Amino acid sequence: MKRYLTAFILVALVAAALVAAFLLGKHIRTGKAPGERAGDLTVLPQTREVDLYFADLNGQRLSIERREVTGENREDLFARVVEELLRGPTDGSRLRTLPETTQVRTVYFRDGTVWVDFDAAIRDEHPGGTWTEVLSVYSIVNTLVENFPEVDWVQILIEGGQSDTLAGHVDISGPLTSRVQLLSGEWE
Amino acid sequence: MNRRFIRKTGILAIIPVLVFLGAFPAPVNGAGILVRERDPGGSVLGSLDLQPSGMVKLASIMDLFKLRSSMDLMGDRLDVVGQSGSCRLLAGSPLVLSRGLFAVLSTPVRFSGAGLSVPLDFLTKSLPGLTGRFMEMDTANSILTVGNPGTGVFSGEKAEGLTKMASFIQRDQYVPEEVLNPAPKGLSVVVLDPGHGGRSLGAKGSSGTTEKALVLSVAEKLRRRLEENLGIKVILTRTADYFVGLKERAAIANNNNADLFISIHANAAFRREVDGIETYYLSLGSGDAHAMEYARVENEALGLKGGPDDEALLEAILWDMAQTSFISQSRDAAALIQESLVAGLKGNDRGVRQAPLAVLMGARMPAVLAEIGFISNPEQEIKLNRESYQEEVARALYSAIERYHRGLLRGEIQGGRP
Repeated sequence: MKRYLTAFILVALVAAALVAAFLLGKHIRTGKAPGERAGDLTVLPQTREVDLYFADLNGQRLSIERREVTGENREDLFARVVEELLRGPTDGSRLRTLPETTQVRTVYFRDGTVWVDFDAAIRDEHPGGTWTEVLSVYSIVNTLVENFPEVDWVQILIEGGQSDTLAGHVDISGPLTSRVQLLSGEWE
Repeated sequence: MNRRFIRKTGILAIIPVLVFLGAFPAPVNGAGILVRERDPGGSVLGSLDLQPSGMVKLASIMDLFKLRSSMDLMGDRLDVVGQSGSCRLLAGSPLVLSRGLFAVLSTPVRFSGAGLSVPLDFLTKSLPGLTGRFMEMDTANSILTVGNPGTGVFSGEKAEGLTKMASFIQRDQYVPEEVLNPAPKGLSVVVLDPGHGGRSLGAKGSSGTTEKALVLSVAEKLRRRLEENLGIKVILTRTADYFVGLKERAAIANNNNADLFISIHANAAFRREVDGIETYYLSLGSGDAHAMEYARVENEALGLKGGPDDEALLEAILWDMAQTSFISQSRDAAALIQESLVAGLKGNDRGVRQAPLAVLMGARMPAVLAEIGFISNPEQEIKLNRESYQEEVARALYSAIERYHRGLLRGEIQGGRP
């Protein structure tokens, strides 16, 4: 009897933890963490025309496609914009920069820095290649920094944690800022 | 994780290796610095061994001032402890760290087989903090005058030559002085780094070729050519299919005093038609993120506490910046390699490029990364899989390294290590 009780309590605890994690995840995703200052939320919903940084067909440089994106608040808008990047370019004149199966887990903004947390697919499904990785990283960074004046830095996270690289080449351990020169295929 | 790694190697792995340094007393001869007390008698404390290069053997300083030291496992950091304080010396760097402050010495600290040597200004910049005594150097007469105990200022900006760490991250102010130009000397140690390995597969071709297997095979072929034809010592960062961290790869090159570091990779793109050859060297400004983070920490704290976090962060910055003194040499090496690969393989020239590549950041020597071809291109994949083509790649890389070697010997290319 006692054993059943212990088992029941354990199951209940796990279930409670899962529900809490789910709710917390949702809150972080939408930026509506409990006690969040209302000032962090902008007018709802927000539609913006944004420049999405994809790659050219030779995988040499970044190339812009304009698209309208709607979000419920600032962080949600950032998340939607990154999801548009993951969706890829609409016509055949550009290349995607990120694996199609990648999911955005959470987006968090504070003091000029956006933290974008991706699931493991961004790493595991990445084709590899140094310049391909440069374009992957800076398609995210440039898109967020160049479209939103309040964003200075982007920190890429994978499965909730800092990572050295996406595919083994480009340093993403710290926050990064945009490189518009990549539109002409140059680092600087 | 990296930072934890650095801290682990820095603190946990510290072993008292250099106790032996104290066992060799400084020879008292003509080429020495007389050390005496400031008090009226000016009694002589001893002498320090001054080398022809103008450097002082650290062993003689430690012996005279009863300092202790320990070197970390990686062999590139030495902690020196005195009665009043401690400081950390970094191999090949002119920076001496102490309690959230650093001093920039006139030349880098030299770690060599003969032991460590420091430039003369170590005596006035760092020794006061260690001994708690003021130091005054009379260079003309080679006399070091030692103040009374309690006179070794080591508080903030007042101390001579000491700068807050935060100023260091403004790169313009940091100009490493490349002195001691030795006679031209060719390559003696080359470190080849076959990319990826173990759980890091790298790029994958549509018929199943993995980058990690391909680049290891090329690196081995290249190693054989270098050893047989040039008699150079060649070290591979991995010799089989296992995982090696990116920082560890550069550390292997640093610890083996490599003259050149070449990371060998195979390329991939989101479109299979993409094809060609690229060679990389590190972009300047890599490591800005750490510097920025540091500046933020510093701003928030309104001054440095000099705690372990500060030091770990500064070390991360230093690691990120290790390669920055070798950028122009790295660019020269990258140009030679790119030219040779494009000519030898008749490949599409996608150019020499700069990128913030993690594997190159910590390397304290000219360092490049070669992308030998696109494994995501099915035609290229078939080629790259052929032993004979891999030999072609190895030959092209070899001929670039040989040209670099000859260029060094003729003094046409500037060598990496001081």
